Amino acid sequence: MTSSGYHRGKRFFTESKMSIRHLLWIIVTFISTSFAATPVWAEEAPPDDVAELAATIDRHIAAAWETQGVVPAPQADDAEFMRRTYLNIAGRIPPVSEVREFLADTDPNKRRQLVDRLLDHPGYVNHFAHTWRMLMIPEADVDQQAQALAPSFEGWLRDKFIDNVAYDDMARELIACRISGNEREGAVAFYRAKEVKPESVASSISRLFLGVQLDCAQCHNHPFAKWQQEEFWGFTAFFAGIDGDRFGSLSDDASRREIGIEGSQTLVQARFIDETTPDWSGEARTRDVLADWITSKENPYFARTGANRIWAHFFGVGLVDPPDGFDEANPPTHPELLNDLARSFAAHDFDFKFLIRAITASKTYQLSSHRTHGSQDEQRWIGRMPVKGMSPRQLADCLIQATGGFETSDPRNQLLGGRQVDTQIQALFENQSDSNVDPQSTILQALALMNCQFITQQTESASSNTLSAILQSPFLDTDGKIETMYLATLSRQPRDAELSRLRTYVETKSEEPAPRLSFLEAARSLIQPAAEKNKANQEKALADIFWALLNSSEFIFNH
Amino acid sequence: MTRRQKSQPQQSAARHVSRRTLLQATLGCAASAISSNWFPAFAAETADKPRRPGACILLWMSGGPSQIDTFDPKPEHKNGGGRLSIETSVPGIRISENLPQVAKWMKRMAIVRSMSTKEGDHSRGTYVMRTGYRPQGPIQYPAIGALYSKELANEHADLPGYVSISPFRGFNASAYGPGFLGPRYAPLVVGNGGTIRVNGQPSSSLKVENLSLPGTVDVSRHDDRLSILSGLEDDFSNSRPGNAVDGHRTAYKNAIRMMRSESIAAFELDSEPDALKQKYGLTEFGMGCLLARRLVERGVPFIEVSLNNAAGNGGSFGWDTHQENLDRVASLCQVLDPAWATLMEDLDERGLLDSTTIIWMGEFGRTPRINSNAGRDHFPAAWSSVLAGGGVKGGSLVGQTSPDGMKVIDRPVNAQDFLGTICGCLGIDAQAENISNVGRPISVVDPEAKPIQEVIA
Repeated sequence: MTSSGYHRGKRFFTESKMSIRHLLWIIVTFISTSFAATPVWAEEAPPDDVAELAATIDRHIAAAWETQGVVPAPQADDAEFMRRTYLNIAGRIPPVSEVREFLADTDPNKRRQLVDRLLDHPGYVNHFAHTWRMLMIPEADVDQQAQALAPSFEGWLRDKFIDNVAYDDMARELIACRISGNEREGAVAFYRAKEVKPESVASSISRLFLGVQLDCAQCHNHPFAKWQQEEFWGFTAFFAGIDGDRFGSLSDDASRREIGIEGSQTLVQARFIDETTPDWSGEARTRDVLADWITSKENPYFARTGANRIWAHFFGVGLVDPPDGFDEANPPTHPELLNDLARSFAAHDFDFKFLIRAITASKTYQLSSHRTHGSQDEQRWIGRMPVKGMSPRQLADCLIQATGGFETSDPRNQLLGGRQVDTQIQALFENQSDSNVDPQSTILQALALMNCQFITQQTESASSNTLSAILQSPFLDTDGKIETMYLATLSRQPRDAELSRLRTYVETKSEEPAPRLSFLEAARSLIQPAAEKNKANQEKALADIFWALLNSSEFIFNH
Repeated sequence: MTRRQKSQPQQSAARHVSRRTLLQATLGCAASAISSNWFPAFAAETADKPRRPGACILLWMSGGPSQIDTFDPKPEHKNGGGRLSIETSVPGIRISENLPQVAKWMKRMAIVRSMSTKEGDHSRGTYVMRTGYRPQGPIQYPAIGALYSKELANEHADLPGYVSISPFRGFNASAYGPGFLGPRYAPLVVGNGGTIRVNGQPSSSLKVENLSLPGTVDVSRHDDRLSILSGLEDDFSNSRPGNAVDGHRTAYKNAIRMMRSESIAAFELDSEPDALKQKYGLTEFGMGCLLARRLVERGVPFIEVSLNNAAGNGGSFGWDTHQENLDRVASLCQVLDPAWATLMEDLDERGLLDSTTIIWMGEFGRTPRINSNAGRDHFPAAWSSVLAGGGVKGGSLVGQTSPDGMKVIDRPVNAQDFLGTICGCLGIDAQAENISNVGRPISVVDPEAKPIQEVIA
């Protein structure tokens, strides 16, 4: 145990009145993370910053449980941890083979190893690029013109995540991006999506990187919010030089730094939202100066907003929620935790992967979503892992992963209609909610998951990859087949009660005469031996189970 | 979970319990679900439905229709573009020559010529007119279809309360959603207005997608599947109770109820006589209006039909007539005029017009001055909208614009005022409050709204 960890622990224990249960939890947390940090056999090992931040997270969360009277859920088992982590990092559920391997792995460090593996997985790049595209150009989900700009912008983001570009460098490239002519690729697409309007770009940048919604102050002073109209236009003035049409030629007067308030004669000079005035000495370009200020390690908004967003990505709910709702009227649930996360994020040069490793290594993240006590219903105290919705793309990818349906990214399959499945599902599951801890289902979604062509094909033995492989496997008995379907969809083994219930279903159905036979089926059944008839019924029954699994809450949600 | 729920733990826990109990009561436990009908109770319930409350049909003109070429003609002024006005069934009220059949129904209509709003951008204008609020911050305002259908809903209906026919959602999809009311109030969308179709096959395209079971699955097999699903859902909702699993269950319950309901015959437009279909016009919009009538007959309280384009207008979009305005509006009116007039007549003949309020509007109007491309541009300052049918004092004219059409000179009406007026006609309490996603109660219509009392019957 490091000495600072010891002192921190000692202070913590003496200062708070804790229940025995909490104490035990903390001790277990401490011992396990401290051992991970400095194993006894390697006294000189470098300090494990990941474990240290994970322990800090757990300490703050446990302190809030104590004051709020929350009894936490138990730790997630390996299957629950794996599915959730795959979804959060790689954007999809794991393949069956990996679930089996992970469950069988006896290495005590396997959870952190999984995270390391996933951070090198192409799924991480795609999922994070898509997630940040949705944050940065949310217009693309509702506006068809903006949609046209999304792919090139997402490509730019993908390059950033491939190179593991730091959060501050990414922000700087976006804010200070050179704008000219007919350039459409990359960061410029962001400006085009915002119709090259200074006020739209400004309100988006302030939401994204400062966590504040200046837009309400665009038209009038808001009685409750801190931001006033002058501050909005003062911030907008940094973008005053940009000009052009969404799909036309662009220009940028890099030295311009004043703007007129819409509908009035007042001119406002560029000013930071903390009311300080920029230093314009030298030949500074306006947006370069803004980028320096925003991404500065001393900027209290920037690191906290970034850390809070990553937190919200993993928990579905931010420490400040909504994550762009930093406001005196909306304080963080765990202010000290937010500060520590932000400080650590900045100290590690805004490395996304560091923060992800620390969050996922925490006991807090590894809580089960299983509700074991009424005090866990208040999601903000994270007494259990909240149940989250998936993004439309996540769901499409999960359906494809589970069914063995074609890869939509494979251009050959687009010819077969792969793109269509993807877009069909995405259109149906568009979620307008900022917060994804309140996932919402509609009738049209239910109809699609029950009856659409894709699901129908994937739940027929003849046209589904996963299902036909399971049905035809000579190594699997009925239990083994049910088990494999569970692993393919829910990424876990069926419980005994489930297995026996479903086994009974398959057995009962196998012996039933087919209810209504088509002429052809009837003719075939006359010459078919009983065993084959049973086999056909059995396959149908197994297909029914596969269908039900794909339609289940447990499959559709991230938990 | 919304912030309100977060701050009220006891209540939220209590709600979980009661909602679960309720679901169990309606769904039945896993065992009873295995029976051949998943929801035996509903058949009995629907038999003695209470009296149908008022309904609303919104005729939505995507792109922003030109007021001068529809309901506020200016034949004397050069901004009128040389088009004539015609008499209506109400002496003294004249409208554009583009709408001869609609003119005959003026006795049942109220024209508002003094619409004056602030948003001249498609996305923001669409949002304001369809939600009653300007887009701001994180609040997800619901579309009026979601709000009104919630107020008018019949708990026992098999069909959703809000049906959107051929919506073009490209300008602002959230203006078509249930916002903070949640997915229970989401529209059932039929027809794909997202792609601009010049001449689709109207009657077959206005179907609910995925409504029927695939050919390989009959009802008894579907029941088997649902019984397995029901078992999975019970396990999951016991271990992870909350809004997610409840919402999933409600969506499935309603979807299955609809799949198995006789009300879905509403979508069988083929059963209507050809002559009537011809009268509505064999266009997607015409068939949409016919479908709207069939949905009103089956108790759906809010239906919107979007008019997004007309044959011959090529790749141009709907009422966004920046070029060749006069010709394009004329083509659009050839679609609008017979469909709307026949809808009025059809509802009237069935005794439904008195209880059905019809609204005609778009996101804004168009410039009185004709631009260099013979088009008209966006113009929110002075434009027209129409109320008709149930709850509307027919033959009314509200407000006035200047002779050149450039400004409102009498009784300006903004978005809230107009939407408040619709509430009045429908008998909805405009000040009824819903809890928003930021925890603040928000009324159906902004409290500052001043409804046009003189047109409310």
